[in-house]
Amino acid sequence: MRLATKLSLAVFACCALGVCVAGVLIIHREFQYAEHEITQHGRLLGRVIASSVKETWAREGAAAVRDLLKEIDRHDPVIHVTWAAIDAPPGSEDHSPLIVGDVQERLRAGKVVDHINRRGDDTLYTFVPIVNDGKVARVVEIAESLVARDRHIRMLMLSIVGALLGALLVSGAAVFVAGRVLVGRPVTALVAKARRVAQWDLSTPVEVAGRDELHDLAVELNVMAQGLGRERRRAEKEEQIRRETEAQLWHAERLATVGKLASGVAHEMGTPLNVISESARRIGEGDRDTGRHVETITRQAARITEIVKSLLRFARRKPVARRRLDLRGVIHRALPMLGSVGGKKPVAITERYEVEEATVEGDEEQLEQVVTNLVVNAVQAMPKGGQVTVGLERARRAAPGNGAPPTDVVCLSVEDQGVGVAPEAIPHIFDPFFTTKEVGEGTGLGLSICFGIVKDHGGWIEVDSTPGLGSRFAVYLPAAERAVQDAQEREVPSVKEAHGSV
Amino acid sequence: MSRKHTDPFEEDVPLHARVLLAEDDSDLRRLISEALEKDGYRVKEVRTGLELWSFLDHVTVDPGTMVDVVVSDNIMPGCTGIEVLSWLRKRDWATPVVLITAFGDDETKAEAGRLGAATFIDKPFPMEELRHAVRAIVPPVFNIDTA
Repeated sequence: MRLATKLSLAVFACCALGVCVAGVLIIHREFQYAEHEITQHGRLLGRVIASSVKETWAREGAAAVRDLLKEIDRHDPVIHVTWAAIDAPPGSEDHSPLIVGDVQERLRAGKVVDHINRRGDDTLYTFVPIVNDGKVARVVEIAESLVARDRHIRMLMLSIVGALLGALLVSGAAVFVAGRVLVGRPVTALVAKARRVAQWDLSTPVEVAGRDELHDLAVELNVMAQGLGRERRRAEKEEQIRRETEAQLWHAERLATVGKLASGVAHEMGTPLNVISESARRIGEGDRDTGRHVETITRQAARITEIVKSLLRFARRKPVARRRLDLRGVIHRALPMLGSVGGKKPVAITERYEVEEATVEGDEEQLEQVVTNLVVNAVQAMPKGGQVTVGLERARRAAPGNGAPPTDVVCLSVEDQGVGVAPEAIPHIFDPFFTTKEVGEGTGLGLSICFGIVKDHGGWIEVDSTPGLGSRFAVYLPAAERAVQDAQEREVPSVKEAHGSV
Repeated sequence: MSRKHTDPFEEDVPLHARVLLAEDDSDLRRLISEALEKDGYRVKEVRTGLELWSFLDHVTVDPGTMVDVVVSDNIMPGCTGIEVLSWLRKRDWATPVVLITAFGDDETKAEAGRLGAATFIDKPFPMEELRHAVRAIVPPVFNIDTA
């Protein structure tokens, strides 16, 4: 129910209650007043008639009194006057059936008595005693019909009720209209404004006339909307500046990457080109060892091909096609492809999962490449073979460097028992073409590619390495939301041996 | 002190100039080595920056292993040519160094110039250029009469 309607109904109910009480009081009072009037009238009339009766009785006798009373009856059809003796036996001429009990006692004491007979004929009886020599001789009995008076009172009551109902209706309508105008309309306007603010439409201020609380609320709402507008413009400006800065940084980073890449390409391609051109020159000069030169040229050309392929993989990185996926599935698909990486070395790849599932939002193909590159690196880092452990766990960690708060992440780790990375080399391991491997083992782009993919997924890579003992590459990816809750429910470590050796 | 056992150039009397060649690619190393030996140099090959450093460090123990020219690639596993050059200069060793750098790697060249590299050669290079550069530093065969 609307506020205006509620208020109108409340006011209307109060009015109705007041009107009813007033009506009842007025009618009651009118009734009492009318009864008082008629009683007084009866008494007055009684006294006058009693006085006349007494005089006539004394002067002319009882017969004259009867004539007088008949005369009075004839003049006024509403009243009927008789006289009676207090103690007349029933059946006698002077007996009145009403003069009994209390009435009789009081008359005997010389008092005027009123009696309204409601049960029979709606008549007011007034008894006036006629006292002769200190003794009640006779009683004048005046019967006055109350029918006319009652009709008058009924009419009066009807008109009062009608007037009150009319007043009630008019006041009800007034309250309803006032409620709509003073409460309903401003509240509707305020609600509409609040809705506009909720939809970020801060343009049109709401206007509420008057100086009441609703007006104050409207003013405050407008001030709030203006404040929000200012904040929004400020936030938009900051966001734009941030985006521009980011774009500049990205551009600078891109240029730096391109620079490093170009320098790396120049160096990587320089060597095989040098070898090929020198070998070709020697063949051209008639060197007898043609077979060996041709073999060298073929080998170095294959190396160039591998470099170009890696470069293309690096450069043609597709945008991340995100979907929910379980990293266990990614690892299961990647590992069988790596069967031959170790060659004849004894290499064991163990999966160690601390979680039942590790759901992230990511690109399956790209994440598979990350796993592949890390595992290949791990195997190549162990010249005499050893164990590679691929692990999955959950953690709450902050991305390094940017001061962001810790978030729920999934950690994919690849640990080897290889030669390790020298501390001074660690800052460079993600640079394109940086490699510590022997010629022909790697192009130096693998970790660069991993770094790019993980960064595109909103994650980061941490490296922990001890020269001579091995390295651990930990890829942190933001956990998909539902997975986080599940993790808290069931964090049961499970260890699986997946592959014996490759 | 018997040079016979320690001299990696296996030469009783140093008649020929000695070149220490550091290059991680075996094909290129072989080609350079063959070319310089054909010119009359004695060439000692090492495969990585660490081997280069280790060899040069050995010179302080045994001056008989002294080399006349170092020809080194810059980017190699272990440590770079520049790092070895820097280490040499810190020890006040003035051994001439021919540094093989990547084409367009101006930063490295500037650094190499500051450290006093004799020459730097951009990869890929014609073998002639390297031979000329080495010959400009030291002739392949010493004149015994004057020595």
